[in-house]
Amino acid sequence: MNKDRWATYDLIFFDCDSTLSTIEGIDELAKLKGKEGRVGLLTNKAMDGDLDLSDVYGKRLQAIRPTRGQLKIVEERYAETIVEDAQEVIAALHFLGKKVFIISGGLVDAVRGFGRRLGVAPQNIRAVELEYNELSGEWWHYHEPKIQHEQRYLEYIADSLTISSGKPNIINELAGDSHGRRFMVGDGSSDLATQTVVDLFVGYGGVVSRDKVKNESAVFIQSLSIAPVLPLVAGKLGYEKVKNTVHQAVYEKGIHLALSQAVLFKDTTSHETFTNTFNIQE
Amino acid sequence: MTQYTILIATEVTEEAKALLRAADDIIVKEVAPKTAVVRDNLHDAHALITRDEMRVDAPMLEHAPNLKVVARMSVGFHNVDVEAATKRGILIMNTPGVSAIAAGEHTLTLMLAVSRRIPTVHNSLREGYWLLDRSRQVGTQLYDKTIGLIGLGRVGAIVAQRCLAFGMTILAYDPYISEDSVDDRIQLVGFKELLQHSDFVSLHVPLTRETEGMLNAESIAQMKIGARFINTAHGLIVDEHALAEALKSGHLAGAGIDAFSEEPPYNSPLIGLDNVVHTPHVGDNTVEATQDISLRVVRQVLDALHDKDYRNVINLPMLPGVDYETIRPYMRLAERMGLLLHSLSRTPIRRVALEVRGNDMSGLIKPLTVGVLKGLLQPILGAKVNSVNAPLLANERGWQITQAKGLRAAAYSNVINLQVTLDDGEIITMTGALLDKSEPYVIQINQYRMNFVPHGHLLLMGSYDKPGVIGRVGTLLSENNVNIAGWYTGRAGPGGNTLSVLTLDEALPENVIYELEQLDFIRHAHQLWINSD
Repeated sequence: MNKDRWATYDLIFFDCDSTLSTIEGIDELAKLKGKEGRVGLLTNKAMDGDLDLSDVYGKRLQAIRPTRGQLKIVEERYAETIVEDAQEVIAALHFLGKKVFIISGGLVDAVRGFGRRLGVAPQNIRAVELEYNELSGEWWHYHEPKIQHEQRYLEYIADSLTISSGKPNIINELAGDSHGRRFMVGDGSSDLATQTVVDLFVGYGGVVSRDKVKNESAVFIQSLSIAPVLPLVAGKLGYEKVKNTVHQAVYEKGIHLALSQAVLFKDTTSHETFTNTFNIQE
Repeated sequence: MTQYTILIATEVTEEAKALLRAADDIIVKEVAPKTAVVRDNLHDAHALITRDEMRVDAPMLEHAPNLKVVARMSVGFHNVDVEAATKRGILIMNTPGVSAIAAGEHTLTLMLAVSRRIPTVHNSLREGYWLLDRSRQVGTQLYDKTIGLIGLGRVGAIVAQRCLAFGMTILAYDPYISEDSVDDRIQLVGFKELLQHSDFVSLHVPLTRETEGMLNAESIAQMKIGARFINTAHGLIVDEHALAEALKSGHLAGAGIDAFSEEPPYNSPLIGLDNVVHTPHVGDNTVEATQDISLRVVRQVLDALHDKDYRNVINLPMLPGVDYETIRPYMRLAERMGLLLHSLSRTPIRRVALEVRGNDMSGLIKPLTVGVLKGLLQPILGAKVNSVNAPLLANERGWQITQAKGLRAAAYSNVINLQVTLDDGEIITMTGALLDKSEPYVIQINQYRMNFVPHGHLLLMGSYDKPGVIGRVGTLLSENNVNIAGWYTGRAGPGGNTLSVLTLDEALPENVIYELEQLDFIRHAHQLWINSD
C-alpha cells in the first residue's frame, strides 16, 4: 500500500444507538414505562459483552411491552438527540456517491423512521422487526389511524440482530452484490464483531466510551462530533470533491478533529499514513 | 324478492339515480336534508345517503329499525355517531379518494392565489387601477420554497406531487404513514420541525379528536415569520382567532382558506382580511368530482345491500385492496368455529385468544376475530349480532380479546388457532383451516385430531374410549330414524377420553339426546345446527 495514501471506502455502515443518536432506543422506551433500572442494566451488560444479546433481548421487551405509538416517540427522540454532525456527514457521504447503511439492534419502527429523516433509504436499514398484537385497545375502530398506535408488542423476530455476534451476517446480506470496500462505525461490542467482514472498523466513543471497543478498534473517535468519519471514509480525494460545496465545512471539521487527539489510531503506520495524506502541502 | 328502500337526503346526479331505478328491488325516496324530515322517513329505510348537511346521531337512529347502511358522500364522517351506528350493526361507508384530485388542485389554486395576491390585484384592475403600487402588488414564487404538509394521505400526496413539479422542497408530518410507501423526495419530519421550516403549511388531515385545534396559538407561534397557511381540510382543525391574530400582526404573510370552523362562516375573523384568500368550501366542487362521487356512492350502497361487496365501510374489518369475496370464506370459517366453541362451553366466556399462522392468513386477524366473535355471540343474541357490532357486544360482555403466539395446537401451515378461556378456568382450543381457500375444516379440538366441515346438524359427543360406543350410538340413532352422514372421532390415547363429531341428516329429538347422556360411556352430548349459507 502506498504509505502516503489513505485508502477510501464505498459501503458505509453505521450503528444507530449511541452512534447516530446519543440515546439507546430501548432504554428510552423503558423510561416511558418507568422500567429504566432493570432494562438499562441488561443493555449495558450486553453492550460491554458480559451477556449475549440473545439472552437479554426478549427479557427487555417482555419487561417493556411497547406499543407502536411509543416507538414513534422513540423515533422523535432519536431525531432530537442526533449526534453532532450526523445529518451533515450522511449528506456528504451521499454527495460523494457512497452507499450508506444503518444496522441496529434497535427496533425497526423507530430506527427506520429516524434513518429516513437522515436520508437513508429504508432498504438500507436493518433493525429488529416486531410483531404487534393487532387486537389491542379498541381495535374495531378500524377508521381511526391512532388505534394502530395502541397495538402492543407481541413478539420480536429473532435473527442475526438479536445475538451479539450477528451484525457481520447483516453486513454481508446488505452488501449483497455491491462491490467496494466496507467501513463500519459503532460504539458497542456487537459492532466490534463486524471487524471480520469490513475493511475498516471505527469505534465511536463520543457518546459512550467502552474500554473493550476503544482498545480493539483500528481507529477510535472520541470527539462528540462524528465528522471524522468523512476524511476516514473518503480521504484527500473526497475533500477535493466537496470543496466549494455545502459539505466543505463539515469535511474540514472532520479533518481537523481527525488530526487532533480526538481520533486514536491503534496502529502507528496507519496513523502516519492518515496524517501524511492530509499534511501534503499544496 | 326482498325490497330495499334507499333514502336520499342530498343532491345526487340524475345518472346515479337512473342506476338505482334500473334495479328492480330498490325503492328510491328523495327527501330534503332536514333532520325532522329524514327522521320521519327513516322507518322503512334500509339505506340512507347523506352529505355534510345533517347529523346522523343516536336519537335519529332510534327511528331506523331497518337501517343497514349509512352512506356519506364525503371523506369525513364526523357528523355520524359511529359508536351508536356500530352498536346497532349499521354499516357506515364514506367515499374517499373521489374528490382528492379536486381538493389537491384547489390547494394549489389557493397557494398560487395567496402568493400572487390574485384577489387584490384582480379587484384593483376592476376598479380601474393599472399599476397602483407595484411594490404592494409584488408576489412570491413557489419555486425553491418549502411546503410542509400536515397529513400525507390521498390529498396530501396529490399536493406533494404537484409541488414537486413547482420545484418546491416537501416536508410532511404524518405519524400514521408507513415509511416505505413514501416518495423519496418527501422528507418526513416531526410536527414542530415542519412548522419551523416551512414557507407554506397546508393541512390534509381529517378532523379527529387528535387533530381538532392542532393548529392553535402555540403551534402557529412555531411557524416561520412570513409563512403562508392553507386549509382545504376542515375548519375545526384550526383556531381561527389565533390564525387571524398571526395574519394581522404580520407573523404570517397570508392564508388560503376553504374550510371554516362554522359554515357558513358568519362570525369568522378570517373573512375580509387583506392577506386572506377565502373560498366557500368548494374544494371538492368540480364537475368531475360531483359526477364521480354520486355514481360511486350509489354503487357502493347497492353492492352492500345485495351482499355483493363492502367497499369503504369504516366499521368493518375490510382490507385495502382485498375484495369481500376473498375474505368471506375466512370469516365464515371463523364464525363456524365460534359457533362450535359456544356449544362446547359450559360456563360463560372470559377470554378469547386467536393465533393465525401462514401466508394465506396473514393480515386477516381482524376479519377472523370478527367472524369468531359473531359465531360465539349468535347463539346468545340471535339476529342482533352481525359483523359490524360483534366486537362491541363482546366488549360489553367483558370478554378479553387478544392475539396470541404459540398456542399449542396442530402444526399445520395456514390455520387459525382459537382458544377460549371459560369462567371456571377451563380452556378449549380449536384449530381450523380452509381447504382450497374455500371449504372450512375444523382439524383439531383440544387434544383431539378432527377433520370435518362444520355445517348442518352436528352432534358433539364426549365419551370414554371403549369398545361398542359406535355400535350403541348408531343403534340408538337408527331406532329414531336419524341418518348419520359422517362420524369423526379423535382420542387422547387408547382407553382415554374421546371426542366425536357426528354430522346428521336431520336434528335429533331432545329425548334422544337425553337417552344418549344416560349411556355409561358418554361424558357429554349436545347438538347444534350451523346454517351453511
